[in-house]
Amino acid sequence: VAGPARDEVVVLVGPANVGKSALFGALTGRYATVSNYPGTTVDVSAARATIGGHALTVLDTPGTTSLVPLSDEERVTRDVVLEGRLRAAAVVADAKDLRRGVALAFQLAELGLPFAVCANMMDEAEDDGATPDLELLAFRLGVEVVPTVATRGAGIPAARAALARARTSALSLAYPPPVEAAVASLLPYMPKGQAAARGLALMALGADDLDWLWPRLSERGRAHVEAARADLARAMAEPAACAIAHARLAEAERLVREAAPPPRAPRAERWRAVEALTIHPLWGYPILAAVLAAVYWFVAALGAGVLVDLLEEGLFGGYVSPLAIRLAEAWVPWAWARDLLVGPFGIVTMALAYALALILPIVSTFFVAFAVLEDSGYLPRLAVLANRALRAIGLNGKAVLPMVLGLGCGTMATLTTRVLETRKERTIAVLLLALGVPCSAQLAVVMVLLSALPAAATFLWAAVVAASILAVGWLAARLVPGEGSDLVIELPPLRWPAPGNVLNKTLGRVEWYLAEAVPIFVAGTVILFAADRVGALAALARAGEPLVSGLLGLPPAAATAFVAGFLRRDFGAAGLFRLSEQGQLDPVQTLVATVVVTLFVPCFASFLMIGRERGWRAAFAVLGLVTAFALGTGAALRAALAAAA
Amino acid sequence: MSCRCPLCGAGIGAGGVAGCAGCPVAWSCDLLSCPRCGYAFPRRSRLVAWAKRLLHRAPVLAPAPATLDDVASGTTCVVAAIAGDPALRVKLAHLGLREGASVRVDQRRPAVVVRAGATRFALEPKVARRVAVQAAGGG
Repeated sequence: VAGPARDEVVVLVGPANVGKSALFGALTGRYATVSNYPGTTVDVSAARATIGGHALTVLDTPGTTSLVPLSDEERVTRDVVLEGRLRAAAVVADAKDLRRGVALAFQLAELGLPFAVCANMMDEAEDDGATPDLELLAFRLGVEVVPTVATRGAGIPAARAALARARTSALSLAYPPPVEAAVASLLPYMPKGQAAARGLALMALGADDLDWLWPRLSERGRAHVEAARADLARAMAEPAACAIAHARLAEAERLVREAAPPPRAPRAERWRAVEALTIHPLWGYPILAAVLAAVYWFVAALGAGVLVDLLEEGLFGGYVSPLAIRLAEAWVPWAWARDLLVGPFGIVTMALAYALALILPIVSTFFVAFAVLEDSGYLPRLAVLANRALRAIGLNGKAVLPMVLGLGCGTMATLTTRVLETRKERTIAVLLLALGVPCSAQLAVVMVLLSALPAAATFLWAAVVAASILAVGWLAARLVPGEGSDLVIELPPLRWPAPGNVLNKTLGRVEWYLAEAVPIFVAGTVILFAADRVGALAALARAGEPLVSGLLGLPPAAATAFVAGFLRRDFGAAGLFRLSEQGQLDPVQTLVATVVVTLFVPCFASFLMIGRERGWRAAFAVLGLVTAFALGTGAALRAALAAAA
Repeated sequence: MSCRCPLCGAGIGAGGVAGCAGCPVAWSCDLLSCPRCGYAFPRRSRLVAWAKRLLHRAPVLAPAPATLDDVASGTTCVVAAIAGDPALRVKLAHLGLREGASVRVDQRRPAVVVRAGATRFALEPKVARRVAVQAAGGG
């Protein structure tokens, strides 16, 4: 047997929420986000795995129901599958509901690509009394079908073996006669490669846009494709895309009915009742409030309270910083280098203390809470409940994922705006994340700042921030060109999150945080240190003085805090915290400053992420808009408070 | 049959939305289009329906459901036609919402929750109104 070419890949494909990422983790031993929210994998994860005695690259793709893409995510999957270096595709299907997986298998069969099917979440199918007859399914599909429970690692050796033996399927569906005629006419013009002409011709007829195929066709081929599409549109009442998808799904349904008995005991009644309550028009909202309160309590009390005290005052204040100062004084002869390490803008005393002692415990507890929410299947229900409110600001319920994630980390949330369907929605979500959604680190410091003031101040702060989000969102919904989309979202069953998965996912995200944020903290501190040395901070504070003291009525030193706020949002809030501790801020000034720093520009990391995701023009536009809006709101609030006093 | 065309008198049921295929504003439109004469007219006034319910405490007549948005929760119906762009229709088809499919409505607000086979999903009322249905069992 010849070994595989070096760059061959194994690709996992399947609908959203069937456990592709869990299977990816089980196959490769590596972490990829496993969760119970349709559409969590937005990037293709890659890792090495041993399959059939060879080390191969395994790719985990975003949720896909069809290789004729309807979204950017499905486009990614299609590109990966058709790249031409596919050793095997693993169709990951939900064992309780094999229909969509089977329809995807039909497409791979038509494309003549080697594949095997993993009927995942077999345990849930068995619980439902709907154990499918996988032998019959394998016989009909002409490829291997293996049962797996990826979250527990069951069936993984069998899946590995099946992938090593993956073969093409001879199965061929019959489409309506006009479609078949059009396919036959296109066969000679399809590009030669790994993918078979019949599958590509069906794609050429059923795709909305031909972005993949077009550059690979000859002049004559393009003319034929256009003619065939036009003929087909005339010959059939239904659009070709619908006719092809319907034929495939109808056949998949027929096959699945044959292979899988209808669920005997769908799910325990009390689960059904709980599931219904979570989206109940009345009870859904108190449950939502309770869930959010529990998350907030967990993050604020445990993360921001107990753990921060333990790490910041205990570990850093008691041991790390004194030790670092003693070492620096003993071993570093130059005063400037000592300051760089352990001074007020020192790498150890500021950057590491912030990153590891203040922010890490908060984001870690948030990641735990978020992982539990994801794996439980509650997030799509949150989307249903939040839909109405989000419609008002040009988004739909799906935007609840980036928005809630934004309360953890805006940078990460900006990345997940990709789950939104249209450009307009992504732009609005990114803008609102940058403007008004405070990240967990910032929120913690803001809460501490506000806790020194009467409770009314906290309400006022929340009201101003919420009103800003609503006002800007409402305006953006009307001003940003493009269209929104309607909410159509699958509701996966509620499940108990598996502690192993929650831990695995949390660790993965914490690793991501450390790799992403710590270098920026260090770099930000070095920049602050250098700026402080050459007097730039003082100069900037002087330059900002008319704005900060004139417009906002704050002490000039607050300008330094706002500059720091760009390097890391919470740097800014923490700077204000120090000013208030020193008694330089009166209550009105504290409130104005807190509102401004909350609304103020996103941190450096999320600025970079906005640039990456939405382009640099958008990033600078967001930066300018948010700065102006924050200062304007601050000035208005100051005037209002002065008038009230 | 859920209503008659006010212009030509043709009975309009599920097929009433067929005239909307290819219409660029069909996605945000509450009008029905008569399949025979093409006359477009409002589906019904929600205000009037509400006022009638308020006055009579019960629907004046129990109309057969016209769209998925009218189906009472807990009942099963058969999908007759779906209006909208092909991308939306293909997406709904993958969830199990296709012409001829029998689906159950679990809940109507804040979103229409539909069960098709083992798949459960939520639709915005606006989307549900584009799905014409008939009562199950040929009623």
